[in-house]
Amino acid sequence: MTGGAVTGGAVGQNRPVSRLVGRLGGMVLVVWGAATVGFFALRLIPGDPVTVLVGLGSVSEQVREQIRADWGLADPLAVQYLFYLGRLVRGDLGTSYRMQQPVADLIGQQLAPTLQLMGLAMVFAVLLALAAALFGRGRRSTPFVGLLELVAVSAPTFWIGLVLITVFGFGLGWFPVVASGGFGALVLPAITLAIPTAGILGQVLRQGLDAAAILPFVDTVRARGASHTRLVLRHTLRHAAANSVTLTGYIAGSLLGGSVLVETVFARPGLGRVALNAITDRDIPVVLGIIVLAAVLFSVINLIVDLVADRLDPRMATAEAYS
Amino acid sequence: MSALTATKALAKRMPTPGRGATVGFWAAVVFLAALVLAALLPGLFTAADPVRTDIGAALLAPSPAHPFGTDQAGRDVFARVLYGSRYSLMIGFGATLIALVAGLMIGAIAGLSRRVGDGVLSRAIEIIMAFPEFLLALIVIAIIGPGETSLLVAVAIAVVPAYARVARVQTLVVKRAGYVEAARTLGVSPVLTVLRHIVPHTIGPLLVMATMGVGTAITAAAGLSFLGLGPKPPTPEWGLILSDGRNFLATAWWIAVFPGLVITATVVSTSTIGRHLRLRGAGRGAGATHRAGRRP
Amino acid sequence: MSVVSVRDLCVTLAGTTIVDGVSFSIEAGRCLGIVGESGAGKTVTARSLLGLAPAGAIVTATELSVAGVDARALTEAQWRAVRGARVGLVSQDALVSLDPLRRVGAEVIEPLAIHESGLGRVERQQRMLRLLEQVALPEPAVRARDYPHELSGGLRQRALIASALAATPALLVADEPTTALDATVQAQVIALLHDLKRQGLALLLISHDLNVIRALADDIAVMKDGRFVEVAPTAALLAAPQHPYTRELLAAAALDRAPESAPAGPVVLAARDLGRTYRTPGRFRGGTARQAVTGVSFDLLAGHTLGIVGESGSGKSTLARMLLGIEKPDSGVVLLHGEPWSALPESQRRARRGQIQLIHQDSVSAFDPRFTVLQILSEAIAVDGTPRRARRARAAALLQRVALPEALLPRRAHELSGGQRQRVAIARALARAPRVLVCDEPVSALDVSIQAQVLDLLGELQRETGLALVFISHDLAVVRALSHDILVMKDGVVVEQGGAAAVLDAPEHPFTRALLAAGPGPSSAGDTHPR
Repeated sequence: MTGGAVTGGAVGQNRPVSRLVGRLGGMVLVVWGAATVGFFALRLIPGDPVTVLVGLGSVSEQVREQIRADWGLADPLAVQYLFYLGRLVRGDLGTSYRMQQPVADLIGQQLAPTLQLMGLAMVFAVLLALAAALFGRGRRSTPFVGLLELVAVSAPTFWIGLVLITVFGFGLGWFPVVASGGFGALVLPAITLAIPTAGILGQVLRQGLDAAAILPFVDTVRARGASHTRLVLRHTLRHAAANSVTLTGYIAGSLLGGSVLVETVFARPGLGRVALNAITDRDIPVVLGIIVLAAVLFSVINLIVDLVADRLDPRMATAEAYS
Repeated sequence: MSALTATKALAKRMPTPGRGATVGFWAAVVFLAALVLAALLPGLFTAADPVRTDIGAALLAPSPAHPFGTDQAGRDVFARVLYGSRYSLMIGFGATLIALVAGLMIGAIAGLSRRVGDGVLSRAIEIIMAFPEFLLALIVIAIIGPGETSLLVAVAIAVVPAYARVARVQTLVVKRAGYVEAARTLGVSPVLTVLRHIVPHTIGPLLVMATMGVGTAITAAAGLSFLGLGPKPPTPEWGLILSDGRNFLATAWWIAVFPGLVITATVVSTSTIGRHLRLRGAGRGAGATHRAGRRP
Repeated sequence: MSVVSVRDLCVTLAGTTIVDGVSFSIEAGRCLGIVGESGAGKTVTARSLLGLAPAGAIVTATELSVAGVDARALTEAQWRAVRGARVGLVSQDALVSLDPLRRVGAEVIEPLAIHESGLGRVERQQRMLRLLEQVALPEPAVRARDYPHELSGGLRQRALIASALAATPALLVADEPTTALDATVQAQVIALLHDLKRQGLALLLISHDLNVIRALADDIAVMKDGRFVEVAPTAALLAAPQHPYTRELLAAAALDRAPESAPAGPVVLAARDLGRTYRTPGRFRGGTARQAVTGVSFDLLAGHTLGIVGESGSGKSTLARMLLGIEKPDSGVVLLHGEPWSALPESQRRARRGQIQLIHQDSVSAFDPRFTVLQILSEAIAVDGTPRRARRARAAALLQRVALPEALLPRRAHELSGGQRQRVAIARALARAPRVLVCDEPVSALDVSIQAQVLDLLGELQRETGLALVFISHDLAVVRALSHDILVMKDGVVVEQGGAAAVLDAPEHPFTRALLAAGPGPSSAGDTHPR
C-alpha cells in the first residue's frame, strides 16, 4: 500500500451488495471449473468413449446407442462439452449406465445418511475443540493437550474407527458395531470422523487465543478491571473464532473425504460408498456427478463462511480497499 | 517505543522450545531413522517372511516370537509392517518431492508473472483447493484407475496446489519486501534478484511444509489402499494390513491396532520435526517479519 | 491529597532491573510527564500503577498508594477492582488498543458493566453516549455503532479515552497517547487531555516526545535506564535543565537548526507536472480511481535538499517512488541530469540507477534477513563490476564513511540497533556513488537523540560530496533541519512550495500553519497550551 488509506464513505454504500455478487460469481466459477476439468480429464482416458462411460462390465448395444445420443458423441468435442454444460445447468447429472439409474437419484438417495454423519461429526468436533482450547491452556495442561491434538490429527481416520469399534463395540459393547439405522449407530462413526477435525480446529483455536492474548487491546481490557474469564469469552475467543471459521470449508471437505473411509469401516450406506463403488467400477457418469456436487457443496459452504466471517471480523468487509 | 519493549520481551520468551519439545524432536528423528533403515534392510529387524502363509500359526496373539501377533494366514504382522514401510515411505517421500518441485515452480511463476498470468494460475489453484486432498486423490484415481503407481501420482497431484499456493504467497510477500526494492534501486539485475533474494526465502517455508507433508502423504496413501485402490494383496502395505485386520476386530485386534500405531507414530514424527524446523526458521528469520516503526 | 504516591518503585524481570527506585506523586488536576527513550522503563512504571507489569516481573515499593488504596500487596482480584474504577489506561493506537472486533460503544460500556453492574441497559447506553460527548466525538449515537477501524485516528483515540474514563477513575495513565497520530490531530487530543486535567483528573503522561510532554505536564520526570535522572516543574526543567541527558533530549527535541546555505549547482533532478492515479481493483465494478499525486513540479540543485512534508496518505511515498523510477507516473516526467528518467524503459534505467538511491523508513525490511552487513554492502559494490577480492576493503571503507566500526561486517541487520541499521542503509546507497539520495522518513523509527546523529551524518555527507537530497517526513522539525527548499503536500496536492525560510517563517496556506502550530518549533518554545 503506497498512498495511504482510502477514506471510506462514498464507495462504502454499495460494497456489501457488489461483494455478494462477486462471491456468487466466484462460486459459479469454481463449479464451472470443476465440471470442466472433470469433463476433459475423463475424455483423456484412452479408449472408446462409450466403453469408458460404461465402466467395468458390459451393456447391450441398445444402451451403447443410448450413450452416444446422451453425450452427443457424433459431434465435435467442443459441442459435446457445451451440450454437457447445458445439461448441468438444467440440473441433469446424467445417467449411470452400470446402475441403470439417473445419477441424481443415485446420489440423492444416499445424501441423507452422509449429511447426518457429517453434521453430527461437525458438532462433536466443535465441542471437543472448544474444550481443548479453553481448558488446555494452563502451564500444566498445554503440553498434554498439545500431544493429544497432534495424535488426533496424525492418526488415520480409518484406524481410529477400527480402534473405537474394538474398544466400544466389541470390548465394552456400548454401541452397535454394524449400521442399524438408530442414533446409537451414528455415534461411533461421527466421533471417528470428528477426531481429526477436532485436532485441527483445536490447534487453530488455541493458536488464535494465544495470538490474541498478546495483542495490544488486551492491555486495555485488563486495565478496565476485566477478569480473565471475561477477557477470553468476550474478547479473545471471538478473535480466535474469526480466525477458525475460515477453516469451515476445508473441514467440510475433509469430512466429506473422510466419510468415504468411515462409511467403509462401519459398513454404512452413504455418498462415500456411492463414490467408492463408482471409482472401483469406473462408473464415470457417477464420478462426474460427485465432482460437480462436491464443488457446489464447497462453494455454498464457503459463501456462508465468508458472510459469517464478515460478521465476526468487521475489518474483513473493508479489507479489499486496503489490499 | 517503550510500549513495545514489554510485549517484545514477552514474545521473545514464548516460542523458545522447552526441554520436552527438544526431547520430542530427537525421539522423532530416531524413530524416523529406524523406519528408514527398516525400509532399506527389513531383514535386520526380523527373520520372519512377510508373505509366506502358515495356517497353523494363524491369529496368534502378540508374543516374544511374534511381537505384533500373526494374521489370519499366519503371517507375522511385525514383519509385514516392517516390509510395508518400504511402500509407505516411498510413496510418502516420492509424492511429497514431486509436489514440492511442481508446487514451487507453479507458485513462483504465478507470483512473479503479471496480473493476467497470476490471475489465471491462482484461480486454478483456488478451484482445485476447493476439494480436500483425500477427495482429490480419489478423483485422480477414478480417472487414471487404481494401482501402485496411481497411488503415488494421485497423492502427489492432490497436494500440489497446497505447495503452489504457499510458494505463490511467499513469492508475493518477498517480492514486495524492502530489500527486493532496494536491490532494484541499486541496479541489480532481475534474474539475480530472484535467485538471490526471492527463491531462498520461498524454499525455506516449503521445505518445512514438505517435512510435515510426508506424514500426510503416507496417511492418504494408506487410506486409499485401505479402500482397495492401491497395491493388491498379499503385498505387505500398511493400508492393506489394516484392511485385513478390519475383518478380525472381535477376535484378533492386534492385526489392525499395531500397524495403525506405527502409521500414527510416523505422522507424529514428521509433524514434530516439521514444527521444530518451523520454530527454528521463525527465530532465524525474525528480521523478515516486518515490525512497524513509530508511525504505522 | 495525592491521587497517586509512589516511593522506591523497583521492577525486575528475569534478573534484569527495569525500574530502579522511582518515586513520585500526582495530585488531582495535575499532570506528571515521564519522558525518555525506548527501553528507559517508562511503560513498566506506568503499568505498575495498574498491577499490569509484564508476566513474571517482581514489583516492590516502600509506598505504592493508588487512589487511596495501598497497592503493595493486592491480589489479582483486588487489582481488578482498582483497574478501570480508580485508574484508567489510554495507550498508543486505538486501532489496536480497542478490541477491533467490537463496536466502539460496546468498548466504552465494558468498564461500566464490570464496575457498576447495578446499571440497567438503558442507563449504560446513556452514560456511554454522554462519555462520547464529553470527549467531543461528533454524532455519538452514530459513532457508537462504528468499529474502531471505521473511525479516523483522532476520533478513535477519543473513543479510547472515553472508555478509560467510563468508570470515573481518579487517575488516568496515558502511555504515548498521541504517538500514532498526525501532527494536527495530535494537538486536538492533547487539548482534550488538558481539559480533562482541568476538570480534576490526575494524569500520568508517558511519551518519548518532549514536545507532547511539555504541552501537558505540570512536572516532568526524565527517565533513563530505569531511573529518574531529573524531576522538576515543567517551566524550570525547560529553562534550566540540570542533568546532561535532559539537555541532550532538549537539544534533540528542538532540532533548532537549519542547514548551511549551499552554493548554487546544476539541476540534478527535476519533476514536471507529475501525477499518479491508483485504481482500486474491482472484479465486477470497474474499480474506483484515486488521485495519489497531482501536478508536482520542482528543480533540485546539486548540494541542495528538498524537504517534502505531509501527513500520512498525502502522497509523499508515491512521489518518492516515482522519482526513483520504481513506479511510472501517469502524467508528467522526471528528469535526471536533464535527461529523461521516468520515461526510460527499465533495462536502460538500470544502468543509471546508481545515480539516484533510496533510504527507506523501515530499516528492518530494507535488508535481506539472511545477509550479513558485508554481503549487503558487497551486493551494492558488485553492481559496477568490482572484483570479489576488492569488495571487503570497499565495504570497510564505506562503514567508516558512516562512522561505523569494521567489526559490524559479519553481523546481520536484525542484530544491529535502529541507528546502526540506518547508517548501513546510507553506506549501501553511497556504494553506488549517487548524485541524489531520496530519504523516505529515514529517522521516524528512531529515538530523538539518534535522529539527530543520523541527520548530522546526512548533512555532513552533503557538504562533503555535493549530494542532492530529497528528504521526506511527516515531521516538520526534522525536515526543517536539513532542507533548503520545502514542499508541503496534502491529499496528493502541493499546497505550498518555496525556500525553507519563506515557507517556515511566512506560511501562506492554512494547512502549513496548522502543521507549524502542531509541532512546537522554536517559535512556540514557551509552555503555552494548545487550545
